[in-house]
Amino acid sequence: MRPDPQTLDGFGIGLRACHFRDFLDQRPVVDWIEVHTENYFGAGGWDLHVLETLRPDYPLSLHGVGLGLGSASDAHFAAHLAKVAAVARRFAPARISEHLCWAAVPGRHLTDLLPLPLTQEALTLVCARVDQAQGLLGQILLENVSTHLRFVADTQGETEFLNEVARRTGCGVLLDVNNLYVNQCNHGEDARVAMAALDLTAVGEIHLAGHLVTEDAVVDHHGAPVAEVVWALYADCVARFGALPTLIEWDTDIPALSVLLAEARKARGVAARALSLEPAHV
Amino acid sequence: MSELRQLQDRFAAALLAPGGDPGGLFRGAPDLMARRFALYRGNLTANWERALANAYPVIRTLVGEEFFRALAREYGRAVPLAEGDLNRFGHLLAGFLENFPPVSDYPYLPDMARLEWGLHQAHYALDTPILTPQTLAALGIEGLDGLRLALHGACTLVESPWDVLGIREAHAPTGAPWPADLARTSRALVCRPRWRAELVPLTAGELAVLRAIDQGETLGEALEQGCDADPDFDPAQALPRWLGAGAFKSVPNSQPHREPPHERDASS
Repeated sequence: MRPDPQTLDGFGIGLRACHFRDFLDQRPVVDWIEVHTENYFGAGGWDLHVLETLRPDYPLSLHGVGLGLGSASDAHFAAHLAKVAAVARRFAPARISEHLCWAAVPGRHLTDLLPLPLTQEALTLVCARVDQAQGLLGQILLENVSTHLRFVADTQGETEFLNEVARRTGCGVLLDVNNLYVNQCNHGEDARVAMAALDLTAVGEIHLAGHLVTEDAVVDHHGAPVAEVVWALYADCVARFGALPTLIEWDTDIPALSVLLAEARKARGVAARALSLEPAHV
Repeated sequence: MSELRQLQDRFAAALLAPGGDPGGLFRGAPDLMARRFALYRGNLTANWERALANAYPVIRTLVGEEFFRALAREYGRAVPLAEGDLNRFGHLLAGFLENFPPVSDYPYLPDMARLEWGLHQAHYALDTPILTPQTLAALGIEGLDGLRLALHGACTLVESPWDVLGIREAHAPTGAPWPADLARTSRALVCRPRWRAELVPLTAGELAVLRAIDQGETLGEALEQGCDADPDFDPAQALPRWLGAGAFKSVPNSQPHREPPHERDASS
């Protein structure tokens, strides 16, 4: 049966250009698809055409990577938000999400999810921006990010920050379990403690991805299968937050579609087992 | 200026300076944090390189991977990406190459960049309906002379004193030989008849007509300019070629006949 295209439920994968042909020809069975919103900023052409063709068959999540909710400068925000809104009007996504990060200075977009100092000033700014975004887009979800750095200026942890943004703005939280693990490695922050402190009702979606262990840092590169240690965290996450829509992310060295679909099946299995057990960490 | 703004300006400035380190902003051992900060610089330049390679595959082959990486870095620092859309990164590369001393021995590179950016832009152009032979025919022969057409948004006219078409051919999978004489004029139309951006070579006459149309001349005036530019120019041969390439926007107010609704459904 075709899933309701306006409801995100179950286990999704990212739709990337290298798999367009597979999707068009085979309509693989997957609960939902995710795209990076910025890849559909063009006025027209093949990419938009493919997504328009597939849209009736899959619930869609628009996942933004460039809005920069925490950019102190106003120079890019309104224009970028207007483009996100145009993509949203065109595709009527089941969900829209972005990251807790910054991305631009006046006159220059830095095209990355840059780490935000976790201060009162940043909190006030992000809340105002989320309000502005939600005024145009309806409820959005805000994702925790992985970082290589933490600031001397920080006055709170990311979990506390996200809880507060969710409380003040009514936005949801998108919990990236791999990012929690990466931050645990990079900053000695306990991922399970962070998970346990997140507001139970705010979390609305889970992301899973692969990472790369290097000498200087663990890098959230989205270029490998989900690590075993992250699957274990995911099981605990499902035990705490219940069955939430879960995305497998893979953005560098993207493998055959079958590999992504197998990871999504694995997530389904891990979640089913976790739900059938007594929650271990609540 | 707010503390957050100051911190981000300092972070960005260090990111853009080779070997830059904002110093003192981060918790932890300064050496390790400097190396971690450099990971963000690596992301930035890798994004620039990927985006530029996506738009300029021939230039990348021409200059080699290593040089191209350095070019992406130099260009990215010199020409800020003003919006959060990496598909727009590289729009001023042609002009940048004109003033980039390391490539001064390759004077055809800027025109090659113009050609490749035309193709790249065509890929993302608005899906405006194209003018079909049927629509044109329905206007009736007597209306054609005074008709003002517009090039389709996906289209760009290319003219270069260098054989950029031949150089591009030499890098196509078909593997045509490297042009014997680089100083040979190229004329072409970048177009996107359906989803794939294409290049249609043009004669001097054809280019003169399309340029005149693009400047707002009527079809009749434009065709005359084509005949002036090229005594062999043959409109009867050229027009079907242009229409096949999707060179023009459909004519908006002509409404030659009412289309039954099912016809529109069938074409989508």
